[in-house]
Amino acid sequence: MPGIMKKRYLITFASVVLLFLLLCLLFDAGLLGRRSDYFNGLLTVGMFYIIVVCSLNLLTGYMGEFSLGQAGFMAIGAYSSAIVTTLISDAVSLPAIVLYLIAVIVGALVSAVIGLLVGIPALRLSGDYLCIVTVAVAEIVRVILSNVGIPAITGSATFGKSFAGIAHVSDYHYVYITTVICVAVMYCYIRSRYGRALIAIREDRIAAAASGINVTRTKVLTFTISAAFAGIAGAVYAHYITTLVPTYFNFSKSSEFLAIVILGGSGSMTGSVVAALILSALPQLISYVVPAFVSYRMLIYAVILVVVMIFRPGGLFGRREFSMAGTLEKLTSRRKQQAA
Amino acid sequence: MYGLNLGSVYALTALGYTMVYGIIRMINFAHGDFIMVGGFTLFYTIPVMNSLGLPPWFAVFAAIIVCVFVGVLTEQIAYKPVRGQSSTTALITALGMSLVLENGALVLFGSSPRNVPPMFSLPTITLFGASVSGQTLLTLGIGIIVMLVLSLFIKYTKLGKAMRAVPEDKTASTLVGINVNKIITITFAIGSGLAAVASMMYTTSYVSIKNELGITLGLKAFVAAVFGGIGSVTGAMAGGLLLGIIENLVKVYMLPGAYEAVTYMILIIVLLVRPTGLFGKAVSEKV
Amino acid sequence: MKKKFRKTAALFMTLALTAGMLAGCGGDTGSGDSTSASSGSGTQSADSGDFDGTILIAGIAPLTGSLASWGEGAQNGYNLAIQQVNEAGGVEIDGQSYQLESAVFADDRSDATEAVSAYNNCVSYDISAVIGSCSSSCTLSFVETAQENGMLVITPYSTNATICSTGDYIFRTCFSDADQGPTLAQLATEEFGATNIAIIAAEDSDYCAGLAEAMEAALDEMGVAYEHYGCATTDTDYTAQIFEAINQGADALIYPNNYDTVPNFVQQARDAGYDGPILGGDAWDGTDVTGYEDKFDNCYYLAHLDLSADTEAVQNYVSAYEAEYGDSGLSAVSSLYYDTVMMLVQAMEEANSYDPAVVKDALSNITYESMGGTITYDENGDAVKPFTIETFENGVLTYYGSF
Repeated sequence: MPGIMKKRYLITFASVVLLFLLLCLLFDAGLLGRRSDYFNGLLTVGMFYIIVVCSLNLLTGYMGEFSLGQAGFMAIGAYSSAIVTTLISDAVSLPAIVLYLIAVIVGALVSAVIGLLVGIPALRLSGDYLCIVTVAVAEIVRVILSNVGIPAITGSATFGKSFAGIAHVSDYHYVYITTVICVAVMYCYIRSRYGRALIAIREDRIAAAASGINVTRTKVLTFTISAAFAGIAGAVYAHYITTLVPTYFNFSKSSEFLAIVILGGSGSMTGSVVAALILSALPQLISYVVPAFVSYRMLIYAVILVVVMIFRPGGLFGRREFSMAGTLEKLTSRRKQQAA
Repeated sequence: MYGLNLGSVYALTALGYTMVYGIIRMINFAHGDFIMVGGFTLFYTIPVMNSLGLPPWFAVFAAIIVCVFVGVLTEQIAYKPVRGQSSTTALITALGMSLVLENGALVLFGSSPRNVPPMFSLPTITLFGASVSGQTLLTLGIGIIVMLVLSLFIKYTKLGKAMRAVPEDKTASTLVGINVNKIITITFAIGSGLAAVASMMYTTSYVSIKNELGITLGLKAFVAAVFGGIGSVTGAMAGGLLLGIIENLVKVYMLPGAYEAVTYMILIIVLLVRPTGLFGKAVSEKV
Repeated sequence: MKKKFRKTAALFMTLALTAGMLAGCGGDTGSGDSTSASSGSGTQSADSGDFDGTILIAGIAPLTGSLASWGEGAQNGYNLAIQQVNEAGGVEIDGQSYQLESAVFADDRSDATEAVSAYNNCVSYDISAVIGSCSSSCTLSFVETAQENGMLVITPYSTNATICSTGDYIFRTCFSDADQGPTLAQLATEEFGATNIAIIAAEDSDYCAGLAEAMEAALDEMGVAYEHYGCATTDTDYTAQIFEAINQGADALIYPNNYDTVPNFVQQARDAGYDGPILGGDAWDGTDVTGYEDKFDNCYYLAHLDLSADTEAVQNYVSAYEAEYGDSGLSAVSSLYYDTVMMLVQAMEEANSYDPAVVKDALSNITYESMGGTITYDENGDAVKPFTIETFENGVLTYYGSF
């Protein structure tokens, strides 16, 4: 068995690297010419969508609770990381990669701390009520960010409110690696002891508690991890867009994230990745061909969302995952069979 | 008298939330958007009423018809098929319907705000030394009447009793001959009709409407409903009024731009400390 | 066992990319690719033989989303200007006449993220300038990149004070909030003799709060008494603030918030018995007064221009616009986009080049006759131009004066 596992890891790793090289070829070698900025911009947007949507899927798909406040944690990550990097780059000049790492770490930490503080009291609730509390938390974050401007220590920028002039360090190479690591870590978390405990809680809270799982701790841990990843997405976003506006992180944004999770399939990381990529980048691309599409975009999402809920509540992928190694194995075994 | 008007509008909206939640234990996210639908109906039908020589507020009947139609349609098309599913599925469906209505309105009516023509010209009245606008009194009056009628209806009529029976035990209700589906549809019809009335009162004070009107109003009214005790008709009324007054006091004297943070803080605290709200009955959930 | 769903992602991405490339090529008029090597080479390329007679520019505006009504007019104004330039013989550079062509008019949905994509989309063509965008938050999200890459950006409608100080490639055709605030204060005190002013501004919007701040600084300097009341952008109820303002004995209300909330505010102020002047900033543009015409008497706001003016330029513009698109979207935004394109053309002709690096210098020294008055630029790239004051007479927008 370990041998097979190793082989599977290798295949997965190889395909991730291959994809990376393909992207480098497309963007760095200039195969796309002048359009490469445009496409790697779209890709960067797609990737922070992947991170935030997967982080929400941890709650929705595996914990079985709904959060309509993921944009709030993203906002916390975005603002905290942007404040720190702006302060640092005012004082010393650091290479982009260091600044980027600092941003991601700060975003994750601050968001995780707030997530923990919110999670401890809030996770006593569940279902509709928990969902409403997350809405309230995100709205409070937005309202505070919209109103409180922290005067800058150096320079003329004001932190909080609209915040311009953030270092542009979210290069797509870094963002790609970050995304891969984030998704991998989340995937491993689900497959870990805690993740299995989480799924047990989702299926039957009482039975899980009876078999010795600390329900509250597992839930709070997951909520905190989810917040941390949303914070990372926020940090990536802030250092890509360079201008933050608190109204971006509103209720509609949170519902958009939730809609993407549901459409992809709550309980499937593959679903989240695919849906996040498609739904963040596709509208732009389709609007090339059919300019009117943009006007109908959200309406179409909404209708699809309702239709999916009625006919296929599991979403696009249900709880299935796509496996590169598995697919290869299937293909080769089929070929072997044919050969035999 | 700060916030009495806003509070009355919250209260009228919260009544609709509470009705639906009380009967089928589902947060109808689309309720705020029903008010938007009512607002646009008023916008288009008031000129018609004027040209027919009828008083403009007759348009509210058109709004009631349209809202009830949209509400029942929403229930039949989207909510009914997912009724057997988990509460989370219902929640997402409601969210989806809310997005459908908002974006449908965007496609239909565009994004620019419209002014709903005036419906009443009421004088400002001085009561106990404070001046209160006629609209505020009217909104408050309508709110109280609706609340009383609803309470009596639920308490004493056969239909009302059936409505109270359904959330207690669906299966038993069916056994004693209650048509659960019919009751739920009627609940939605009443809730949407209330939304139309709320939209009339909203647009007399806040004339400018657009497709996003329902989002904030819906959230606030939901807070009001939870504050008062979701499922309780009196609670919705009291919660709405209180919330309106608190918001305005905070806005004027403490945090003008950030008063909404206080609103949502109230929601969190109520949910954590006293989830049944001010007037709600404690119902232990079955496991 | 790890991230093994990458391949699906790859597949979709490749699909998406291919689709985009195909679509991009389809939508492209061909001119973008043929001049792909000549970016920044301006006049030289004309001499060296690969002259193809077109200059590309691009526009950005919110064509969908909550500010879509601005975007429609913006796009029409922009297209109308290009059409008129070409009908009049195109852009004269070095004796050669170039056709002006729009590479793309991108939609930012008044969302900063989309604005960055829209900008990247624009610069993927070989353009000489980007005209856009409307909301300040959108424009702010790409001006820094534009400055770094030497792309000329002229925003027709973003008034945020910091935009043009980003660098020497960034200009605007509208005024800046830093000028708008003091002007509003002056208007209230000098024109209406206000001595006790109430300001009701949304605290959570940079535009509204910034404008209020600039205004209050000016009032402090003048020594005029004022009281500040806050509200939020999504507010509908202002009765409490209005009540307090009346109690304070205010003789002018200043409401520097967005147009969609103006009818609510004015109606509530009039209902509360306030008859004095109500003043607003340029975000009042587009206010709907239908049904409440009488309440809007004695309301004034700072505008970029007066579309009912009987000057030849405005009359010609309005009739050309209406002939082409009807009256839908005809607003200050549309005329500012129009003026921006026209000004850019004048700058190119004066610079004798369409290279952004050369045109930007011509722009900073330009004297352009816009529909709203003469535009010149200060050292920041901020437009110096007269303020138009508009008022309502029986609900009809009327010119009141200039400042």
